[in-house]
Amino acid sequence: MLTLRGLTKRYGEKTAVDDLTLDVAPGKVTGFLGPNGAGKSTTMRLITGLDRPTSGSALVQGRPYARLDRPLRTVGALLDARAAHPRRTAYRHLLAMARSNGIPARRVPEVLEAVGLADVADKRAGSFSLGMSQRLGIAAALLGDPAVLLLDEPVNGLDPDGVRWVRTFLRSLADEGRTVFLSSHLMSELELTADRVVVIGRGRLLADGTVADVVAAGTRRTVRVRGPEPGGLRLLADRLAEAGAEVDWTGPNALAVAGTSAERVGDLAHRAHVRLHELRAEEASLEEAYLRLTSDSVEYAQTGGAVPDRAAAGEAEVVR
Amino acid sequence: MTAAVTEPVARTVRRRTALRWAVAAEWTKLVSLRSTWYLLLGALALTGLVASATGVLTHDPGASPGDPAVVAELNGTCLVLASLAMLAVTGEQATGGAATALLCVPDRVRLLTAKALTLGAAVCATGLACALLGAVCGALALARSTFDAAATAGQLLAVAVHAALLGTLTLGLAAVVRRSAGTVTALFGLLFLVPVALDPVPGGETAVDLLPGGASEAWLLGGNGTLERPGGLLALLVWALGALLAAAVVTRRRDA
Repeated sequence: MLTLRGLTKRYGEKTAVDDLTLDVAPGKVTGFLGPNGAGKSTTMRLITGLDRPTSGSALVQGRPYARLDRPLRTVGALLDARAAHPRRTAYRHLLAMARSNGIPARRVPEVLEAVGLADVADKRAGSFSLGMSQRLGIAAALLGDPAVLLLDEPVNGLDPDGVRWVRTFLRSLADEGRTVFLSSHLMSELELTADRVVVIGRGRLLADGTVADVVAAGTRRTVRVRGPEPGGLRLLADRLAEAGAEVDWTGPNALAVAGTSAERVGDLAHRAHVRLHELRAEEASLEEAYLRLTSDSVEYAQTGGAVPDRAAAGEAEVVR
Repeated sequence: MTAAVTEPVARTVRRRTALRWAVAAEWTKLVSLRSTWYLLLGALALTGLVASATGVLTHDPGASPGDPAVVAELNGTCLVLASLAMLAVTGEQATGGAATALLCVPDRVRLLTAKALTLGAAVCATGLACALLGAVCGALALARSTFDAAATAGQLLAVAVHAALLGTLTLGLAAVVRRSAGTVTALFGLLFLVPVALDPVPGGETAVDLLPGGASEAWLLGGNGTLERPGGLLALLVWALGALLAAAVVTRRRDA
């Protein structure tokens, strides 16, 4: 159980996390979504007490992280894949972590086995690929058998097999009643994994709900209409506007209609005797909802101050 | 009522246990890096070299075999051992290890205490080993010397204590500065540059005697113009604890 109340972090002029209030419930995988620089990692650092909030609070199982006696037994965190000293072996890295919280040393080979690193336990962490480092980070997070798991971009650098493994693994952890909170910018990944999605942009909470909720809130369901007669379509567009729908011309023979259903558009076209070649209700995706939600947040920010190169970030994510 | 009485006791026990775990983790981290062992070998080699050379160059029938060990400590060994203490902090800061350490031990003062205890003990023990080697080399290299078991043992222990205190001072500096280059600069400044700058200033000589370098000489060589041997020890203690205190204040306030 994570409880964030008015969590705010400012670095000088820049507000990284802005009045974030959120409960992350146990027994579920909660996805944490936002463009680069949205404040995901900062939020994770505030929860684990690495950074101090400017105001507000972040509680883990009702207590600040810094007050936990054996934090690794309550929270497993993967914040940075390169969290181990590069010249220390994977085994010794985990052993030191285990000792720091009074966790028996026999737990170390267990978690190394669980993430598939048993064969490279005596290799130095600096020789690991990004994917292996991620696995080592997940092993570290599991060390104390914690009730809460915080994972910042855990599938970064993993091969498809590893991605699938993380997905099923997180699912099983949540099914055991644990709180799983993972950030990602891979929508498709969260769509498959998360029970609930929290979207932030520019440090602010933009949406919070099930994947279906967020998709519904973030996208307007659009109906695509195409026909051979521009005059007829113009007539249909007028009728639709009268009925309260929003109509956009997407081409000389094509309309995008929002705020109504495909059935209603079809009925109106029939009544007006307009020939149609296409009438299609567009399926909204989390990705669309996400881009829409976050682009709004950035438009808001543009009036206020510095503008990150979000167009480029958005493109990069679409390319993925 | 019982709860009211036992709660503070239980908290104290929990804190002690947590500190013991933190020390165990620091020890594991220290011995699992090759750089630790290289530095230990380096400290021993340097001590052997400097102590032998000092022994060869000393022509004083009253010299103690401990003298070359003391000279070696003041002229290099202490700095090699201090860098061991420094790396326990800056080595983590340079990699992702600092965040990991705080995830494991979020109480910054506890983490700092654990590091100071572990490194202080490790450097003290290594300092003693170096001093022993230095005394053996000195005894072999000195043409003539006067051996007094108690006096020599006292010198060797003094070297070990000196190494531990200078190591602790360096650890505190490193925790404030966070980078190896900056820590080395600060330490060299404090040991060598500030004394040179203070020397021509009126009353500067007294100030120089109170600095870590002056206090080291007072403690190891039996007094400088201002401090006697116990005064030197006291000044070193104040410097070491002061550096730790500064580190505690700074790390508590600062984001990791």
